[in-house]
Amino acid sequence: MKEVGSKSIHFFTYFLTASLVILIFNFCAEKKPTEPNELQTKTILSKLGGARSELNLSADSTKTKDKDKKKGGGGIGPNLPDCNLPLEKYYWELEKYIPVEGKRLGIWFHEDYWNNEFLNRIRNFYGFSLLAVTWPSDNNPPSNMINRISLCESVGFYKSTDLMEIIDSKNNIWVTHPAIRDFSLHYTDEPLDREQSSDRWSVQDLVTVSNSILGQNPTAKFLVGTPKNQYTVFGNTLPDYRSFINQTINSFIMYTDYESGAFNNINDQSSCWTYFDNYFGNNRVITQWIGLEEDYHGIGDIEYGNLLGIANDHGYNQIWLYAAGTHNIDRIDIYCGYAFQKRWLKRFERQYIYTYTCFKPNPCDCDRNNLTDGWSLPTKTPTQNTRIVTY
Amino acid sequence: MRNGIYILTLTVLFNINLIAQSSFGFRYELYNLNYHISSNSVNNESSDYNEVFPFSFYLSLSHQFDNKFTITVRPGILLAWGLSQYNGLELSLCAKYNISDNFYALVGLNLHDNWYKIAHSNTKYPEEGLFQLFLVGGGFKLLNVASVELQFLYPFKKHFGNYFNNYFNPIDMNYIIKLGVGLEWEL
Repeated sequence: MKEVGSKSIHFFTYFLTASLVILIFNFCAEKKPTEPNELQTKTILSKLGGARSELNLSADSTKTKDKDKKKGGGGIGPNLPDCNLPLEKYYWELEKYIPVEGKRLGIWFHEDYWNNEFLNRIRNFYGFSLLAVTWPSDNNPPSNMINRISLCESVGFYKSTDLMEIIDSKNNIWVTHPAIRDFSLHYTDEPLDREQSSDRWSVQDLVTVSNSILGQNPTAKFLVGTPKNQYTVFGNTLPDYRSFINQTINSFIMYTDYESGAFNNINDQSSCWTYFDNYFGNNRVITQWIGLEEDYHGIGDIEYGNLLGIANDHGYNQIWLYAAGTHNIDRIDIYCGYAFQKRWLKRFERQYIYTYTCFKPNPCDCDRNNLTDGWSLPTKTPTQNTRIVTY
Repeated sequence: MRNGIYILTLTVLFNINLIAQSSFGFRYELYNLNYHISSNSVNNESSDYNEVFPFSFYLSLSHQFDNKFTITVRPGILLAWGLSQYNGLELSLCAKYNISDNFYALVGLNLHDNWYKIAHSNTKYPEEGLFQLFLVGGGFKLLNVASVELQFLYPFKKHFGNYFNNYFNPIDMNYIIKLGVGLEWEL
């Protein structure tokens, strides 16, 4: 009997100890954070309530807030969710793109989009930090151009660092005008290759303009574009451009075609970029054009990403998007997506709470793990939590 | 439409080869393109332009019905690359009338399939598609196999491209004049 009694006490002690241990483990387990998936983690810069810190975050940034445990009860069992409470999910959403340090995206867009709303979107959503400013059609006198510059400045572009004047004609040179001379960049398209011979420049015209720009602003650059390349059969003007480049110190060259090959039959201009680097010298090719329309050949055949990657390989710290001849501006979204992937842009994201309400007569019938099971469309509430994501 | 032209060409080529008194050869033509640019910019005025381009090649297949009448089919290619927005495959269908032993007159239709990508750049926006041109001309025979020919082509549809200098400036063709030399041998 004594032995039996002693065994019972031991058994009871063991049982008590084990129960205590299990309770402690359960308590700790409830507070244990989700382990990040190391394969999917990306380094992000987090801004929480004004404090910036580096942390690792899972690629799946959503989580469901489980209010039920805090409220305790109300469901079928004591540890089950309160069915009357709405379902809340947390999502990170793109608020805007911002430029990567030392990298700048520029854009030349269609005349039809010169308005405050689009400019603001270009600067403050898409993250373009360079902008081509074209002359309004009634450009003489240049009061409308001055208004256009003011519009650019009102959304955050700075004339002396961010704007590129497009010189549309050799008959429209205003580089010494007080409103224009502060521009950091001036550009003209295919000056030696123009179809309208009355508007075709000479090498001397280019040198004169280049020197005028230099006389106004020693740091300003004069960029010129040409569609001629190593495959050109007739009318090769590259030697003339090289002559102009060699006569000036502030001029640079860009390639204004979006294909290559003898018949423009190769949907990739990057071989011409390489040719330009070699032909004119690396220091005279500092940027290139990517065509919003021309480098988009349909879903599955979009060249933006490849070209932005090649621009990185060439060491360009600015790249220009040519969208002057197209209305397909929705493709800018795609372009910026690729620019994020190729580290030209970062994503500034905000965390939102999505709140869902169950529509079924008995709220407990809605499956909290299945949003198609009787849940309403969510109401979105922004939080103060933001983060900056690099690819 | 384009496929139709290719099928027609092949059919004609096939048939001509089966007929006696047919001849085959090739041609080189120098052409002068006269066009008009309507300027939408205050900095440039609308005006006409003349450009000479050196590159157009054709095959020629002819069938002589009698001493006076010959039909000829000329498939070929006209290329100016980036110098002009008028580039592409061509097919001319012509009737020749022998005025004398050495001179002949020519009338027909020229079909041109204009390409976009070959000339497109920041300042050039060609119009893609098929253009029909009325063709009239005359030629001079040298020896038995050679000829020198002058053609005038007038377009039914004129707008073939746009010059872009921040604004689209339409380019319309006024006419083409071609000076060609050809060699042709009886099959």
